[in-house]
Amino acid sequence: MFRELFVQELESIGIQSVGIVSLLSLFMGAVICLQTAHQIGGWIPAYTIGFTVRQTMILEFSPTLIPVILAGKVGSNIASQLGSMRVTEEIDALEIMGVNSASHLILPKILAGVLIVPFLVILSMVLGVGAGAWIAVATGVSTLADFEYGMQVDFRVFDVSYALIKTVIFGFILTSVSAYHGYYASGGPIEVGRSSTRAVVWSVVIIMVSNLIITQMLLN
Amino acid sequence: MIELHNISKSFGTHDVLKEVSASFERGKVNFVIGRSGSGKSVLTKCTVGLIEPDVGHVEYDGRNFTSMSLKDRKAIRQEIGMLFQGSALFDSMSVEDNVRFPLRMFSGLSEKEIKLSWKKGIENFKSIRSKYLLYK
Repeated sequence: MFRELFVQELESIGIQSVGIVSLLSLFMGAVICLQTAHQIGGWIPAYTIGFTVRQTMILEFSPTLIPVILAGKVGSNIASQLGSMRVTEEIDALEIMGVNSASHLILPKILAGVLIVPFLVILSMVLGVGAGAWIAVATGVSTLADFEYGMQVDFRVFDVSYALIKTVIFGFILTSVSAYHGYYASGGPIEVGRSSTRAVVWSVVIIMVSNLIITQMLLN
Repeated sequence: MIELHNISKSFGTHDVLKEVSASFERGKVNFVIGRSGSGKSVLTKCTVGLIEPDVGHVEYDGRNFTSMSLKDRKAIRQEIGMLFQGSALFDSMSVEDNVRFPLRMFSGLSEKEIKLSWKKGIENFKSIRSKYLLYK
């Protein structure tokens, strides 16, 4: 039963988010490339464009903004699902049957979030950098060789590790905070909506504060 | 037998239950009747442990349910059947999955055995339903 729920959550949190993650990453990678090209204005080496796109995508955009976006999409979904189950007494029914409702309903979501969000972030990094390379060549702001050189120059594997550590923590935050707000919703449908909003707001706030703390701890 | 001993429950300043005592004997049908908001649901939820009473305790065949650990409560809860006001079916599941759910959670049967059990139950239900329609 747990395995079945876990797979369902992987599909709900992960597979169903591939579209939005891909779309945002492609456009953000392309925009970062064009903005960097505009800033360097011809007097800084063109490979800087590839370098900047890579660093921005790996260090900040993919590991932080993708979980923030997922907090909106997945977090509100988790909170409203659990909130609805609370107000329609489904959670009470589970308790009456002797089922540990928190473990049954929340644990698969948290584990799925912690496992699948890093994969979405890796996908985002690849697509963002790829889109940056494509737009650089397509608009002529850089040659592919310069972009590739910039992508490789001063590359540190630890940057990717740092990004993935953040991602695992953010995956935990966005699923657990949303689940908390949904699970403890009370009242009727209006309160379910409110709990969903609170879930998104608090997830984003906690992700941002954690981002600062983790960055200070790991990079400085 | 289920016994309620001096159950009191308040929400904020509003006292919903004040020292309610009752006993529900095995084999007897009992009714709790009252106006809307008089505390029938709260009393029922206190009885099955979904709401903790502020004062008093509930006993199931002499076992103090209120002071039990969650683990011990689980065993008693599996002896309880409760129909909620809103039916409390799992919306995300089909009727079949709703019926199968407790079998999957507690019976230890394989999926194949659960399927057989489900089919048998449905056949019984159909035969009862057709008899009922004939009588009508």
